[in-house]
Amino acid sequence: MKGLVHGLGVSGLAHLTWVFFKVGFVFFGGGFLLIPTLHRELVVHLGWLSPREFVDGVAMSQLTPGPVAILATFCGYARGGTLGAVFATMSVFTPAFVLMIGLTKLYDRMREMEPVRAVMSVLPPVIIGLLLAAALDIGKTVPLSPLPIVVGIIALAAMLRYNVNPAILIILGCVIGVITNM
Amino acid sequence: MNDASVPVAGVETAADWAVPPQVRLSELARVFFIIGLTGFGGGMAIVAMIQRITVDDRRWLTDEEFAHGVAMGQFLGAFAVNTVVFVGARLRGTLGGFVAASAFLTPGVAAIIILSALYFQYRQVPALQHALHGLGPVVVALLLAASRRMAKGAAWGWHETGIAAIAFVLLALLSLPVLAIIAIFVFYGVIRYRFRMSRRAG
Repeated sequence: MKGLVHGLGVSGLAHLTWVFFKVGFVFFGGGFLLIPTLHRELVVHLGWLSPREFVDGVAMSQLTPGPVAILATFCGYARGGTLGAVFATMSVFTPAFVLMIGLTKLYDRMREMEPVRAVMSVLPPVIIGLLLAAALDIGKTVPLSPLPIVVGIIALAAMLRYNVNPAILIILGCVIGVITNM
Repeated sequence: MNDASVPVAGVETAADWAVPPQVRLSELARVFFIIGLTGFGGGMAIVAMIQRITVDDRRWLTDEEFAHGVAMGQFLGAFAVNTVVFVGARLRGTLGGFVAASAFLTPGVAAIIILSALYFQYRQVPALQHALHGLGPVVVALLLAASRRMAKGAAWGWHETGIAAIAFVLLALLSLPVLAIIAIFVFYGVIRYRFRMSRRAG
């Protein structure tokens, strides 16, 4: 492992933290901006990763659980080993975290106000529409063959009728995928 | 809806805005660690999973509160994490938000660090693709189940069906940014409220 011996030094680590902190502000435009922004900053401007490494990092961040933003972890590792990865992740999430805490507190205070409640009451069906759109989007990547369809139907029934924990179904899905070379 | 939301006679204040239950920090950490560990499939799939585990199973918040949290999270980008922060902070304040987010991110970060170490040594993306193919149908089922459950929890009528259908079309067919879609409906909510107020007044 490159790990700690990679030796960025304190100033190098501080610089890395600052770079990822700045990138963290880009989140406000939507998470999907993260990939082009990281690319511009880290590959084009700073040259911390090669274009090829960056593309592989994007692929990897999609293989693992958690948000795509974890791509920042990979980029941090490329620059400063394990310590770099940890600092990059913490700093990239800091701006959004602070603001989300602020929003939540604001929500606690304002949600009892009649106009706020009236306006926000339109949101639950919107979220349902967005969930269904995401289902269609991911559904398009599933091959229309019997096995995936059966897996999907069983998973749906397990969740709706028998209250099975989705975490278990996700793991089972992975296992089936590996066994059947899906 | 929520068990704690039984209306009290004579009390006009929103009964379904129940005070969130006291949840131990260790319980928050445990639940979000598991969600982070199995949260494949991108933002909305993770949101569906959080809804399932924190709203349906544990009733830490109502469907409506949860939807508000998801919508607010959209304004700050990485909305799966933001939703996690929202749930944690609603239950246990700033510390709760921090504990929930850290627990949620830890498995992914650990996995990426291990994969990165392998990558920079062997220059190959580890072949996990097969496992991911098995996930697709489960994730679709998860999203369908979450929307079904949320619809069951809400007061549902033609109006709600229309809103959901329009939101669906805007995202699935027109690929509008999610943030824009939320903004459109907040704007619609404001107009609707003002219209009602003016009708009530005049």
